[in-house]
Amino acid sequence: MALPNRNRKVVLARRPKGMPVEEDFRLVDDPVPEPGPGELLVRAHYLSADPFQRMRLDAGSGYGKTLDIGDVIKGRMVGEVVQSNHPDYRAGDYVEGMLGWQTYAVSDGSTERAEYAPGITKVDPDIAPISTSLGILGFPGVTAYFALLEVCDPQPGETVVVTGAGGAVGSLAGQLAKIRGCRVIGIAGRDEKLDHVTGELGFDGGINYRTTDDLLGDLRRHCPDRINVHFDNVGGDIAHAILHHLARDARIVLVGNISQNNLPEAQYRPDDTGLLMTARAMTKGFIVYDYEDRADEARKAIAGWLAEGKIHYRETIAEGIDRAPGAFISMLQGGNTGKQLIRLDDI
Amino acid sequence: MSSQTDTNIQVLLARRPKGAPTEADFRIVETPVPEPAAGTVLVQNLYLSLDPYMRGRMNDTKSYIPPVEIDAVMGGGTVGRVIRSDVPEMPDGTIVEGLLGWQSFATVKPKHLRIVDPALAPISTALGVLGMPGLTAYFGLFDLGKPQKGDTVVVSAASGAVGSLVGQLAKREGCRTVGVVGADEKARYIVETLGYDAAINYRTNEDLSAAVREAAPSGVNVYFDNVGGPVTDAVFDNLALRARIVLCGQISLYNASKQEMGPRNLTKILMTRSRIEGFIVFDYLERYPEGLKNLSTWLASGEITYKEDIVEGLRNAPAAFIGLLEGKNFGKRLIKISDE
Repeated sequence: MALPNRNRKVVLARRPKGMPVEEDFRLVDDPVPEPGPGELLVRAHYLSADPFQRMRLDAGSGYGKTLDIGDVIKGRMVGEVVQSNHPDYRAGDYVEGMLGWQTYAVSDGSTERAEYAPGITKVDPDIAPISTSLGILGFPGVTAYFALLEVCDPQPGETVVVTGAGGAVGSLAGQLAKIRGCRVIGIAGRDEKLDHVTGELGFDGGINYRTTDDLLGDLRRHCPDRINVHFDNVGGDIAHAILHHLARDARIVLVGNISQNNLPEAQYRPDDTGLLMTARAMTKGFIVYDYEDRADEARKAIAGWLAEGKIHYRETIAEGIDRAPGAFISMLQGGNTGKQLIRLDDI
Repeated sequence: MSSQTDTNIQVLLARRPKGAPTEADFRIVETPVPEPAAGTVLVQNLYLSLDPYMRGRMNDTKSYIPPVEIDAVMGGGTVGRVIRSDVPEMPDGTIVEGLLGWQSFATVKPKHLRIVDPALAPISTALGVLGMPGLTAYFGLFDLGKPQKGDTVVVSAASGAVGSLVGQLAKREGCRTVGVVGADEKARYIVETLGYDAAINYRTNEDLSAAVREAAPSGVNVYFDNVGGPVTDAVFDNLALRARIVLCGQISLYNASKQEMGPRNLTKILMTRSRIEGFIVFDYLERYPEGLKNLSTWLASGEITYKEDIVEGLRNAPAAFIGLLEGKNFGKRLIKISDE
């Protein structure tokens, strides 16, 4: 197979101040790498744009190693094995992993995936389109599954509010809560997303936080029995409003904090922790890698519901690696509905 | 003695405070000693407990317990003696504990009282180490904080009724204990007497985050929070993986007439997979006997100790309460209403 001898990479050009701009990234062309003994070469079909990547661009992020200037952007890809010197993989296999934003990547075949390790997982293209390995059947799906069902354990009849409801994780979390028999209210920043989650996805109500002038009033109207579970992808002022309408023994799972990650410095807001006390509420931070050894359990369950037509997903796809920075910035600003991907058909 | 037994001194809520309470927010009245109805007992209060939660009840806002009405007696826990009773299980002379309020006498149904054994410990401890503050420390630390041997436990308001006990209980479990206090005298006390490993004076320390980092070099596993505000922000900068944060009180915020602002960096909670949980001791009512049994055992064996700060006379209760909110107490603040 004749391969174009060019590996195009997206590298960090400089550290963003607040919301990233395209100039913070740079495209670099290198020769396609040669897999050594025991290694394999993967050609990317899709790259994934995920909120966690924003924090990796800062110096001294929360945990794990941050990127240096000039490093390939940490990111997930799904692609096809085009050359293998590894006994477990053959040309034509599909694999998913944290192989970076580039058109080709060499892997040693490791399956270690915890804490941003570049381990790979085989993807079966007969179960669902391979792009779902980055979305509903990938880390976003596993995140929604354990953060909602294990950490929050919603009960039938309870009210679940999902912020970032139109994104890859939030849209699934809301559907899982519906399967559990909950009342589900989604919060998002565009009417198109809300139409999607209250229409196709079956949420009971939606609130557009950008256009409302009384978020707490909207929450009271949509959640007459108060809020038992907050699946929190965004943090900030929305999370603060929700604290004022918690039910007794409420559970809040902190999955993302996207409203705060692009601020140049910490935003000051009212101290609301006393509200947690009177509600006896629980707030728990969630990192999906803690559930890595149980990820298959989640993927099987989600694939089952997908096959039965009980859950649906949507993808927002940008074409070509050159568009990856723009797609990432758009996703951080809420421009995506469902999973944000970059497709690399013509490389 | 006659004036004491003829008149019921009561402290009423005169008006709702704006920010920090003043003495003018209270009114002291003298009323006749009430007559017990059938099936109730008359109790002469001996000690009144002053607690930070009372500040919240002075506001007209819904909380986990309803507010005190204007011109009503201030609510509060007391220890007293039954002086008139036709209830066989609670004869005259029985020492009891209950929520009888800021007054020298009250009539009450026996089911609202807990009998105190005066042989176990001084009866005032029924309002402290062997009462609600003790049970708060016990269940808050063990049930929500889940301290493990070798963990670092940070306690705010570490010399107060609850905090002083939390540190001792955590130490007993083999934890490293760090107390945050507001006076050097309290810092010395918690290290020298209560056995805390380190103390931080939040009033004089210019970089609280660095102070917590120094005192908890391997990170904070359990944060027992009685205070909220900037102390909490400093602890959040230094959480260990899967830290447990017990929200037991937020005294730094109770007097705020407009809400205090802070960074409230929940990304740190997310990254460290930590858990914050609100705690109200009333939820553990059914398990009070377990807590009291263990606490009195450890008290008797000398494994835990306590300190009381007793102010004489019900008429001094408003000033003593205002001082408590300013951190002027040193140990569990009580009003001695009458001689035992």
